[in-house]
Amino acid sequence: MKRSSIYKLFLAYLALVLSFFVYTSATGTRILGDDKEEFEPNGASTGGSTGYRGSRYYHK
Amino acid sequence: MSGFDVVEKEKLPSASSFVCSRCTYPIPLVTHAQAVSVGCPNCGHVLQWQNEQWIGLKNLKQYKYPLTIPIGAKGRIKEVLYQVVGFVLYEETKAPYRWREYVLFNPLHGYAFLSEYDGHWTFFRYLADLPLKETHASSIYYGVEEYKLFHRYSSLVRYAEGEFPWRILESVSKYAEYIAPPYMLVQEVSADEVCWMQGEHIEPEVLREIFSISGPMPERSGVGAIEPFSKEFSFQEVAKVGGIACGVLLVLQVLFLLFNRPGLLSDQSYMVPLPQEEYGPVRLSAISGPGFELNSPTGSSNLELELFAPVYNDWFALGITLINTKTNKVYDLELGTEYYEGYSGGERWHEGSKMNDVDLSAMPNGTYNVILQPYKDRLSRVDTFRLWVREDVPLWSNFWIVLALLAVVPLVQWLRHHSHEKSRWMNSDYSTYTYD
Repeated sequence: MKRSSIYKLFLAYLALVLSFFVYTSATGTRILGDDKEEFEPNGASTGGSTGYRGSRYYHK
Repeated sequence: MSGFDVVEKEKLPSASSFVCSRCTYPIPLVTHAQAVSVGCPNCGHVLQWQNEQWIGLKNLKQYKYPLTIPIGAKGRIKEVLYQVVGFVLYEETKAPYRWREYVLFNPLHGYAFLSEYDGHWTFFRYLADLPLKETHASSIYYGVEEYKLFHRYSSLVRYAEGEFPWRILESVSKYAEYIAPPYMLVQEVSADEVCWMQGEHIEPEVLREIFSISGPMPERSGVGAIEPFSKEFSFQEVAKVGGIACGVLLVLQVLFLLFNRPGLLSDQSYMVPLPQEEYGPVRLSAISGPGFELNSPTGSSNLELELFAPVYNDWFALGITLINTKTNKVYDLELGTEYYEGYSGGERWHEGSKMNDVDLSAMPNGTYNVILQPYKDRLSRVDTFRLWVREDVPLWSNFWIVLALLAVVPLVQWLRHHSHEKSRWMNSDYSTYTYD
């Protein structure tokens, strides 16, 4: 049975999403983001700041 | 002409002709003796064969309608070569709805019909394997398909052109239409017979090619009675494939849960150092945390850090620094707990938790040293905390996100399919949908 191009595109999309899931599960990557900030040895940071920013917790 | 010519060479019998008794216009007769009624294309008169002669019955010229497919046009539908021999403009007896029918003829396969309403075309052929008695069922089964009652009506002929094997002006028929898109079953009940026809949706552009139509096709309006939602990308097909993909996702998640079990890297309790400052939230002396090694075959794995602190109407926080001794990369994060409770308005309330956790995504392999920087209020009585470090913790959020990504296309197609069906059934007296 000849499939339409949009159907093939849908199959490719499903395959891509499942492959992405396998990759994230195998490498421990969380899709929703990360709770850490990363700093390079030379001081560059992924979060745009350096050092600990202080506690978010304050008493009422 | 021989049977060989008809079967093998697909030659249709040559037409005979007679002269319209009203306007003397020569009318060709392709179906020869099978023609019982004739509509003159010149004067619009309908003639009927009775008492061995053509008798003029009624003039319908005032309703003359331009034909999309001319009488005499030939085309192959379902591998059968048909010739258009007649055209009828019908109208419902109890509503001002009109539709058009083209009578098709093949000397071997008999009659078939092309019906057009609001630009939607249906190809009809007679069925012989359904009970020949009037039905009042709300649905019927034919083959494996359930056909649902869509419409009941009676019709009258407004205009006719060409030749017909039945007395078009005498018979008043009742029709019952059952649909299972792209198919339809129609039962026609007249005074002297009951018959069934099966219709199948056919695209206008397909008909244009079949009959080499050069003029414009009737403009399409709304959703046809048996117009399929999408032949190329139907909801059923999308739902089936999407369901399989969701099943594969579930199997993958189970496999990862089985073969990628979480490992406890550290479980330690720590004493909170004494405050160095006298006022406000205080930063305490940093203490050395756990050390651990990550050695995942894929080069990285996730980490979960879970904190317990005995807070009560209080808060406690940790600044955590992880240092990968292999790459010298430093990872900073915050983890804190807070818990409050009390009475207000005669009711006991509480909020927060004494435990909290964070997830670190895709931490590269290596040996890690951890530095803990505790924070607490100056008056806080928290003097100890406990920290767990785990690797390869199941990421259920990933599963739900990917599940949503897999379901989004079937969901969109379902919404479109639902809207399509609702529009279709808007033209029916037997719709189960509600309309505003």
